[in-house]
Amino acid sequence: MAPKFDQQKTKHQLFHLSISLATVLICMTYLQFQQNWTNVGSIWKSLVVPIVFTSELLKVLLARYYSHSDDNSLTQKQRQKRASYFSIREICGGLLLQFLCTVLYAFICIILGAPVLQNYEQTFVLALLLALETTTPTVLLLGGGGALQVCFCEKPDFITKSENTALELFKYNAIGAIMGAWAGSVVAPLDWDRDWQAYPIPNVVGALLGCALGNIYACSRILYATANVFLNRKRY
Amino acid sequence: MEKSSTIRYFLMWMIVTFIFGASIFLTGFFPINNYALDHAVAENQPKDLDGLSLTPPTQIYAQTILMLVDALRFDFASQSGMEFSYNNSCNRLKLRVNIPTVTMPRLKSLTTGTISNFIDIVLNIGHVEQLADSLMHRLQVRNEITVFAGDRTWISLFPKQFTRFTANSDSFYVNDFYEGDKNVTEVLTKELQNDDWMLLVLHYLGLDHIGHVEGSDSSKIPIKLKEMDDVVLKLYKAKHFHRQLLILTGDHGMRDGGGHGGSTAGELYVPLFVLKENCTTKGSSKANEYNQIDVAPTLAILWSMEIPPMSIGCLIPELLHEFSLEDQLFAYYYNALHLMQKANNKFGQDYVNNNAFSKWFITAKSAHKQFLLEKRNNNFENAFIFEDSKIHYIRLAREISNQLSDSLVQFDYGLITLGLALTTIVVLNALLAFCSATDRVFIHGKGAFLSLLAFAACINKWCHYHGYFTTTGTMSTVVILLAIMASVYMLINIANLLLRRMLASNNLQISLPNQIWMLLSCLLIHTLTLASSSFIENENKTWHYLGASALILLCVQSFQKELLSYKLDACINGVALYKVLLRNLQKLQTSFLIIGGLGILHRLDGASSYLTQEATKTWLSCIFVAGLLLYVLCLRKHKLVQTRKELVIYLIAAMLIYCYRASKGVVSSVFDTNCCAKIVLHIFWMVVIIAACISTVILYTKRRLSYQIQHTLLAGCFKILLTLLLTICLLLHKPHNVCLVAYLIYTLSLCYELCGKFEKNTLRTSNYKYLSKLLCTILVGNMFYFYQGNSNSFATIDLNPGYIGQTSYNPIIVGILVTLNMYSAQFIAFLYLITHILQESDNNKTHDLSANEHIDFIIYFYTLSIFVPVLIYLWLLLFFRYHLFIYSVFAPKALYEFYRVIVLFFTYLMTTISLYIFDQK
Repeated sequence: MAPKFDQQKTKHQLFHLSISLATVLICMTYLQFQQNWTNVGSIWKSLVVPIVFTSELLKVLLARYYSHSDDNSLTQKQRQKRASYFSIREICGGLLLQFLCTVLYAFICIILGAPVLQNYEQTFVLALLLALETTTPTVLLLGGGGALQVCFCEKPDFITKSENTALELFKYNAIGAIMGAWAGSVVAPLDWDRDWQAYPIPNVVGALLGCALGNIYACSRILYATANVFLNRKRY
Repeated sequence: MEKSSTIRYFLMWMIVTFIFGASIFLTGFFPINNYALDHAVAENQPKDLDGLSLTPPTQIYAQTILMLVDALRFDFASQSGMEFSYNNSCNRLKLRVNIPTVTMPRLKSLTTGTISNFIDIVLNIGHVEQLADSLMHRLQVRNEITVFAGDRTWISLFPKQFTRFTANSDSFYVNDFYEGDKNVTEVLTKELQNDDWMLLVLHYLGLDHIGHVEGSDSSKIPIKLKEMDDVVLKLYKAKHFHRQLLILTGDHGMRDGGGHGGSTAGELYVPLFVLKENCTTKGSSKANEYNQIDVAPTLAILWSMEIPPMSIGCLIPELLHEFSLEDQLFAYYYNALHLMQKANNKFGQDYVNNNAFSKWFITAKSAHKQFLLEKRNNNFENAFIFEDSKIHYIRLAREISNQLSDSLVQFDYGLITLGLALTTIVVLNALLAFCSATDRVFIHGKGAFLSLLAFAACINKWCHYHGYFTTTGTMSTVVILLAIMASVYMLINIANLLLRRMLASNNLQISLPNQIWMLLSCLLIHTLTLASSSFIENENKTWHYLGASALILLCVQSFQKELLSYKLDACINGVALYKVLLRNLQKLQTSFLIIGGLGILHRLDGASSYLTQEATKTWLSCIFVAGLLLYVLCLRKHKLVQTRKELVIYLIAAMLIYCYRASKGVVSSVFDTNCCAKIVLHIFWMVVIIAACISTVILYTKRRLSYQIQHTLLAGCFKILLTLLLTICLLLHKPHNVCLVAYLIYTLSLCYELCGKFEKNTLRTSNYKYLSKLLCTILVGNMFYFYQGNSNSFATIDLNPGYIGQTSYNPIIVGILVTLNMYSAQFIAFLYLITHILQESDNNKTHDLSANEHIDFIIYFYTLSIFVPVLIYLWLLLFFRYHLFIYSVFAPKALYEFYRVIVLFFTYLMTTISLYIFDQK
């Protein structure tokens, strides 16, 4: 089906993307006005993690809201799956997955050269942020098992349409965040002696900017596709 | 077989030509300065002039104050900037400094009167006391009291020469604008009371720091200049100023933005103010221009000392006015004589005799003589003859000085262009030939080569005619001819290849799997980072970051692929999913261990200084033992040895290595084995030889027992070679680095395993089958090269392994051992890849001959992967030739890269020769 502006899917996508971009914008403004770069790496003094968490929550709620409309087209399997989202097992699994993911990211950070003893708090914040950008939305949307299946298996059949739309967009977010954090290290060896070159800051900012880039890419793709359809239709 | 041998010959010629081109480039870039190296004994002051006896002038000023203001550029010392100094100076001169405009080389120029060029800075890296002879050394010999206050650089140049010194704690801490200068002025106040010194050097850093941090337009600069002016005023008002000479100058200027180190006008010109009491020429407006190297000989004359032997400067006439006419002429004569001798040494007698300045010298001398005769006989100072003689002396000194300094620093652009052209053409040719699978060499026959030679000779002649090449002599002519021939030949080759390409008109379509693109982009990123000096300094981090990221990504991808193969769609049940996940994670534990180990190894070099202390000897011993055990385990696990017997022998070898280190006292030992290091070493070499023999014998008996195809033998031979290399590397490595040897093998095999998973279905028969493995090998080899503690500065070259078991200095053996130790990771990695390929083709048993093709492909690609970064780096070097860090960072890296190509040549020879030998059997 050709994408149109007034279609539900396109609306969902655009709302979703604007939330993501707004989050990055808010984070960057916050960092800009906070003045003190060293706070970025601490858990309690920086608001970046809560802001990102809120935005991910908002995105999931958005997907939930839109999935109400395709309630009637659900299959038996999908209904069954849906019912089990809030079971204790799923919640525990989700939390465990989150924790494992954070540990894994921290492990990778340390292997790639993050200081071990003196900067563990900063490493933890970075890992938490990456986990928030990559796994949290999926886990919140589908629960632990579902998220795993999505990550490591071919596409399962219990996913509804709106969920699928959200997942596609989460993917851009996640890839952007990881690439951005990875590329952020590029400023670390430079001898400019700026205070923002200290360890977690370029990576945190890189993750946020990477997210923004991923979202902008997704946004332009969607807009291009819609505009294409729109223009072509007009001609005939 | 036929085809592979042509490829190998082609490659060898490519490598040799590339090395040739790169050496031409480097010779052009670092013109070797022979006569700075011969530390000529300073000739004494001349006693006579063609029979007339001369008397050296006596020192006029008992005390001299040299006040250096860092980064004082010419327009800072103006009427508005430093009012008092400007109005009260007897002479205001303009000095032109030479590149590099950084403090250390400038101080050398000020005190020795010579220009430092690239190669002696490169050669002198690591030496603290770089100067053999200078004004300070002379003063020390004369037992004068010299006092210094200010920048620490002086102390590293002259650690023992100053009688009293106060140095700033850290000259590179740029945020200190005032504190350091205040200290200097305090010293000054004290010394003015003290009054026993002959020379007082003050080096003020504040201005430079302000420039670095706030730029040249900062509001703090006028304040700073005022402060400096006040210091001058204070000196001027001092009690003993009537017998003091105050010289105020800067070591280098400041760029408009605030930094320095380049070659803009702001950086190149500094003022030189001379202040003394009752001077006659106060306030003359014209500022004559001199060179900074002129200061050293002038000071030598003022202090009535010998001119520093390396000086190539002229005298500054304005500073000599206090002398009598006779003494002035003596000074000019002395300096002219000194310069004539320098010119004789540098350019040769013939050149000097034919040049105009030798005629001037004769004219000046005869006028000088006439003046002296009239003075002594009639007691009449003929001012006209004096001027005649003086002008000729000055003119000739200026001319020689210019010629000498030109010959020192100038890049030889002719050679640079030639070298760069040759290397670029080689790389282009190799790349094109790599892309097209057709024949690689096209022109044959004597006639073609003779015409090429004639053509090259024509080009050579033309270039000489237009002055592009300035070399003389048979050797350099031959070299240039050869280089031109090679470039023209390859140019024709390239044209030929391109033509065929166009005629064939089949577009090259490369469809490579994702992971190969990823690995290739890692190499590309590394090449790009070569453009930044910070990245060159931290290249170990770059390689570790890229390599570890690539490994992690490979690991994750293979994990995902594994899970995908389970077809989990069927089970929605979460529990089953978790179980499968956990099981797969368990399978991954070795990869996790190895990747985690990389994180530790990355920090190994930093920990090495801690580990080598006496207190941590036990820890070091543990690590050493662990490394040796890991090595034995690795031999067993990766089937590098065939039987238990060999394993035992290698175990003994490992134990002997431990004994050797214990006897050297590096690791703790049970017995007192201080004396028997040599015996242990002898036994070690015997054991290694025995092991090699036994392995070979076992290989052959096995072969006789069972029918096996040819490659088993080849793989076996390579395994023996690899094991021997590993064992020798164990001996050469520092104790804490020993674990790297075995770890390298583990990491490589993990990489191959991961890459192998992707290549199961695709690329089965393609040439690209081993490409991802090769890329991994390059990444891992470089990672381990830097884990070992190597870096891009000459300070980290470990010379100790060169002297293991050596009683005397033998440059060849030392060179081989040091190279083997330094580049062990790359040698081992490459050899292991070859062994792996041979082994694989063994196991498959399907493609009989294709292993050879694969190896050719691998060698070819490996060569290209080194050629391309080196070529790009040479281009970068050309663009960065005036960069601030050209000596400290880029030039050493250039020599490292050059040596890298030579090591590639050794690797290539080692591989092909052993392939050739073992293939025969």
